[in-house]
Amino acid sequence: LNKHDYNLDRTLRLEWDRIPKRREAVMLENIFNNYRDPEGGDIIGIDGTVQFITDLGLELSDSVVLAIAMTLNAEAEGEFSKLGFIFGWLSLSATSISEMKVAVEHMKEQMQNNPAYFKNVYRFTYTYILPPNTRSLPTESAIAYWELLLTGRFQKLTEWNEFILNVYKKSISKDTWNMILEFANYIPNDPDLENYDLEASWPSVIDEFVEYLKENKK
Amino acid sequence: MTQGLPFPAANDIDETWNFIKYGVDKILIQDINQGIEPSLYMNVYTAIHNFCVQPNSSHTNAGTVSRGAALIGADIYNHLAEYLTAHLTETLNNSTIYNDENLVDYYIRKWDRYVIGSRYLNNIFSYLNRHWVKREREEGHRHIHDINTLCLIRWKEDLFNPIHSRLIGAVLDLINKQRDGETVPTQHIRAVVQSCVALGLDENNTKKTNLTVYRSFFEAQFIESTAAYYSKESSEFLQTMGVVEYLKKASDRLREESGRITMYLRPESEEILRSTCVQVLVSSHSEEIQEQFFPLLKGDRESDLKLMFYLLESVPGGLIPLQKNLFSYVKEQGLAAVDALVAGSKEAPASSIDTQAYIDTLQRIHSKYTNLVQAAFNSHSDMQKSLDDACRYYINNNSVTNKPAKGRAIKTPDLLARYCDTLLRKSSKNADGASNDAYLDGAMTIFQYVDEKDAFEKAYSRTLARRLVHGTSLSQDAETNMITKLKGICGSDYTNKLQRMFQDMSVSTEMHDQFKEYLDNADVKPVGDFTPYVLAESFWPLPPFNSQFNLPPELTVIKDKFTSYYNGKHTGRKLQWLWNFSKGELKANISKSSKVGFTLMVSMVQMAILLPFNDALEYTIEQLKDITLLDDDFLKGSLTILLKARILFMSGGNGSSSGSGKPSSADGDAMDVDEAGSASKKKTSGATIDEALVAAPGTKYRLNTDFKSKKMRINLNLPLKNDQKKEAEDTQKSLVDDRRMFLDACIVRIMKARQELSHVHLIQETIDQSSKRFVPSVTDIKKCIESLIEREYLQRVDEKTYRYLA
Repeated sequence: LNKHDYNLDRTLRLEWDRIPKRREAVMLENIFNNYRDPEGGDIIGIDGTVQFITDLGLELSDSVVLAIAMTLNAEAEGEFSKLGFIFGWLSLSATSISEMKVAVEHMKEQMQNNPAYFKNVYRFTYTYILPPNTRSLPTESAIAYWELLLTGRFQKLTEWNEFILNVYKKSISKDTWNMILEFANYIPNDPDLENYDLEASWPSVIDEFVEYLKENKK
Repeated sequence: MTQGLPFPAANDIDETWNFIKYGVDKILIQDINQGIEPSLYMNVYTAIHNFCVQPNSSHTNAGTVSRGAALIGADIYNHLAEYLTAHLTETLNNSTIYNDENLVDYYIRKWDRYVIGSRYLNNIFSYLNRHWVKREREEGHRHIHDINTLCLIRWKEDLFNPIHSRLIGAVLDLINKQRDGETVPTQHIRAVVQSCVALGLDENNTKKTNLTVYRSFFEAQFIESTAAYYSKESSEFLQTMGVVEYLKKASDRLREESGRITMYLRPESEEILRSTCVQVLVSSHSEEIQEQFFPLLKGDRESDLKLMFYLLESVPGGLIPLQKNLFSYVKEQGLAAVDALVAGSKEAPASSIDTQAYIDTLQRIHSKYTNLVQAAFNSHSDMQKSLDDACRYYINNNSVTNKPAKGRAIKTPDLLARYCDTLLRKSSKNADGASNDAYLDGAMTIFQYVDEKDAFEKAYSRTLARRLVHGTSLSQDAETNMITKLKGICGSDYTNKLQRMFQDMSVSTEMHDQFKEYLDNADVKPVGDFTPYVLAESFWPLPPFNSQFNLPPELTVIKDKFTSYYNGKHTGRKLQWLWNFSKGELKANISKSSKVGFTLMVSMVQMAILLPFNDALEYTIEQLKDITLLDDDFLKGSLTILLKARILFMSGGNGSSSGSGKPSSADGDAMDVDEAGSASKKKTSGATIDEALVAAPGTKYRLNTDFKSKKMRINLNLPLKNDQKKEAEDTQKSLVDDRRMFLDACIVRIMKARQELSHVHLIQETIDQSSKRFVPSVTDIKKCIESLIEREYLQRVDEKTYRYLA
């Protein structure tokens, strides 16, 4: 990677050209071509993605889709590049739909039980769903994805979403996005937020949220 | 006498000893004041010498021939030791009849005598010392000592040890008696103490002072008895006399005890004695004492406070409650004084509080307690800090500054700036330069406590700008002086902008002259006097003129001339004309009743409105608007002032749509007052102008041809109302922006230097760095950090640490 200025796509492409086309790679290329965007380009477009996900036996609204997107190095929502697709699955040694299903099961299990893995998926999600050429995430999509990812993980999720929607009303910065997961992990240690330190390094939006919670409790 | 006795046979110890004993008796017992005859001295010395150097063969103790030389000395040494023991036992027995003071007296007498005796003995036995004792000690016989030491050891073991408890008890009684106020022979106490010191012997070096005996036999008991004495006394005294009296008593006692050290104790004891006394006299009662701090403070009992401070200062942690109390008391006093001030000026809302009274109040409290801290607490750093904290508190948060309920709260920095403004403005009151300077110094004292120093800078530069542009400054010296003061407190960064303002002023004056020349050369005749100031926008807090404006044709020429002149000199600079800060004078021959014309000091806008009246006596609002192109706000504001001053009259036009039922009332009222002839005071004359009607469509304005005034010069250049309000808002906004930029820069600077830093440290350093300008809230800093993260100057390493991104 160093050689190519961390340009992942270019690196992959060179890699692709250099290695002899192994059987697995050819198989994956065939699968890829099944879903490939008819409009052209080496990508699977949104329709292909829907089909692909369905063929994996998954709902589009399944959070594991985000893990797949991360594995396949997807750069925009509902889009897979050819190289990302092939190398992603190769790295999991999955070369057929059925093998992919097994790999997806493994991802699910990881998301459930491996906090570090989940954190990666969670952080990846922000860049993944960020609309092109914007710096921060619109509230609506932020809330939708929080619902998807944090339900059951963040005890104050409902209140948080309410707060973001009705009080905060601004788009969500990456920092806020990242830190809210930390905050979700913090809450079990201090359920009533009595020890929450307004002067600690929490983003101020979380400070405001905590104050909002305390006010509404009264 | 010795001469009578024959020299003893050198080899007979008993004979020799008897011979020596005679001399020893004389030395130790008999009156020795005349000294000892040299012959006796010589004889005894010789006898010892003879005995020691004799060939040893016929010694009584024949069995130890081989070690004879050693034993020869030993015999005499032992005899002497036995003799001393017997002598001292006798002295001891004789002492039993003495008690207390007499015992001390007896001991001292005996001791003095004995010390002299020992010295002689040491000399007489010096041969023994030099040879036998020396050899013995060299062979490691540590129990053998030179004769002087032997004497002291015998004294200690045979006399001092059995007697010391009685003796020291007696001495301590004496000391206590002295504490009770009786006169006691202090020289005796001193002597006993010295004998204790002398009895302390260093095994290895007898010349060295050794305090072991003094320590264990005297000092320990002395300290114990002192503690007992004072713990009894202090409790009783406190109960009967109260804390305040006790403060005096205790500090007297402390002084007394330290005097005792120089009087008859060893300096080595000073520390333990002092700490014991402090412990007993102060520490064990510190709570009772500290409780009295508040009442004393309230009563301004400076000298008592001083005593209390003196006592508690030596107690570890003893000042902490005082610090707390001082803080809360001064804080309350400050707040109460401001409250009283607010309550005293009921008729005015808090927002129009008398600036001078307010600053004076702040200062009064501050100087009162600063004096107290100096006088009573010796400017102790901790006490000073409490005072500073308290001042900072009440100066920044009091009933004047915390009043958001009714309109805008006024902050101390604003008031302070206004205060300085009144001091630096030309006025009859400010004639005396020296006292003025003192007032400014006072203001600066308050300024040091102001948290929001940047707010002061803003407000101050605003008032300064006005003073400079309007030429109302007291004097250049006074202004420079003030800037120097500010610089002293906040550094040159702080005053940079202010100083640039002065520079602009002087450059402008120069340019004014040059421009005049330029006009002369160009053969242009100026209309009136024209004084332009060219001021750098970034240093001057002057709001821009945000309205269209058609300059009166009379003035356009000069404006254009100046513009071309300026652009000729400096390319690439843009001139912005601030009409809202321009002013002029008009000679107005408008009144028929007055032979002399009035001079009207007007703003440029007013001038533009008035000049057309040269051509006609009446204009409608629409006409005026066409002529001047002014926005309604400006037109209305300026017209209101002119109407109030009764230069113009207003009459509701046919198009008046205001719907008010009394469109003519303003007119009518104005006429009434006019006839009453009290036109000199603007306030009374124009109070009834219905402002809603001013500049209503269709309204007509007529020049008052009957204008009367007692003054020949009339100042109509009053600030417009909406101007002031807007300016305050602008200032606040620019303050917030400035602070954000300052914090951003601050954080970036810190992070650039540190690369990686924890949240807590970053917050702390940022607060430290900005404390000279203002006190940022943690939330503000956090917001800045977040925005820097978003702008990718920083990134989070983990939940508590940031990293700088180059």
